[in-house]
Amino acid sequence: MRRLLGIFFAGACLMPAVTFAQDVRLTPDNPSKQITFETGQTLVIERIQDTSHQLTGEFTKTSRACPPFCIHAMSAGEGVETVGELEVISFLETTVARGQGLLLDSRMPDWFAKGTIPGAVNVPFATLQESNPYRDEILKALGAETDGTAWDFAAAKELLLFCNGPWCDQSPRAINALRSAGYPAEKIKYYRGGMQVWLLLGLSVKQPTS
Amino acid sequence: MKPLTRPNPHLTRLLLIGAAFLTVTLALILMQPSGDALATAPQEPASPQSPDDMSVTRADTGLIGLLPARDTAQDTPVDEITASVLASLSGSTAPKAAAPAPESADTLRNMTAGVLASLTGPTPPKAAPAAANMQDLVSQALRQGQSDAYIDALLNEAAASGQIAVPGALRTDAGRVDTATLLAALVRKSSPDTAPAPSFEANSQGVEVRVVQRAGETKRYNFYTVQSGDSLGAIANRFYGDAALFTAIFEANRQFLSSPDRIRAGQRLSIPEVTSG
Repeated sequence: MRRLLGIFFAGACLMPAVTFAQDVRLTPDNPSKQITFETGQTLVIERIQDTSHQLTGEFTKTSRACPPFCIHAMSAGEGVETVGELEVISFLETTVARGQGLLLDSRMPDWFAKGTIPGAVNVPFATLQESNPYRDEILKALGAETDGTAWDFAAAKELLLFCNGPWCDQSPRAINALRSAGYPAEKIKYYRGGMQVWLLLGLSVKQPTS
Repeated sequence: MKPLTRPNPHLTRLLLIGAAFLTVTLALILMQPSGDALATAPQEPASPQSPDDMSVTRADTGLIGLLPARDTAQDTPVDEITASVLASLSGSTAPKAAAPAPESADTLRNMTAGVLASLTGPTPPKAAPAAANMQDLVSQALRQGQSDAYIDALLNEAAASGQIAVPGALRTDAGRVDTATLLAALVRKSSPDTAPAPSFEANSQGVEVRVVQRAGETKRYNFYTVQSGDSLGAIANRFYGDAALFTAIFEANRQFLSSPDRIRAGQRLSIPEVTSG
């Protein structure tokens, strides 16, 4: 009886400590991810450790008017893979870090400036549309080659696009624009959750400096 | 295994205290996560997506988004939310209906330049088309009537970002661009007649002249101790009145200098005589 009581007490004393030491991990095996790029640039993706933290502001809204903020299908087009957060992280770790791909933030520059997924490059959807007379320059920067008439995407980089979330049409539009330019679907991925879900999971956000 | 005697009073008391303690502890644990004081006080971690001007009520913020609509969301009229979304997104999302209108060629060009800059790394080939040449950059700034300090800042920034190549002779000991000498050289080039006379005898800081007489022949040896902020071009400009003659100094001091931009404050350089008109 005494011993039982002792265990009971010990447990009661330890419980709060256990509660406070809780770790908010990415997965059971990975507390956080550190990724080093070819360029030497290093980034860390982790989650907010305060278990009582809640989002405030823009990304707590439920009822944006549709149109234009409509719910998007899971797929952004035939052959375009839709991915989640862990795939975004491993895309950064493997493809982007080795210079074989790019994580593209399809939002306009002012949104990008407020905070984006670490490692993302800002390519606003409008710059990929056919109406942009300078679009070819961007396609070339993405690794596509042209002989003046036809495009060759063999050396083009793998792209993973995102925008503000499932209600945001900017990355789907960017993907459509890329596809109609001839960019192969198997080189394009779509992170549908976007900033909304990324923030909701308390994942690291980077404010671009330049 | 019930004790035959009356329960030990000490044990009962201990048990009571234990139960009370546990209740309090459990209550605290359960209360903790929803405690507002705790939630708002310590850290408001990075949520850069939340502009201050959003009219989000407390009811909204308590509700983590993406849940199916709840009554609390109606506290703020949908119209108002829509308006604030549209206000904050105006010009930034270009809703489908208004897509072609707001995108003027200029914005697109600027954005494209930005995209290219970020895609191609630190040396954007197209983003800075005008600034390829240092002299062009300077003459452009001079035409605009910019101050020397402005040109200095401009050049150093352009050099630091790799947009222009700066001759080694115009690098100071601290690695900066020696704008003063560059400007002097430009002025001299544009109006050779008014060029300042070579201040060879200048008894300014760091200058040292030794006169050696040997077998009827008098020879002057000039030395100069590099001052902080000097460049080889500046020294050539000071002694010869022409920054372009830095090569003479460089050649004469080859044994100390690996390249024209490798001068250090305190270094003693031999300044050869140059026979130029």
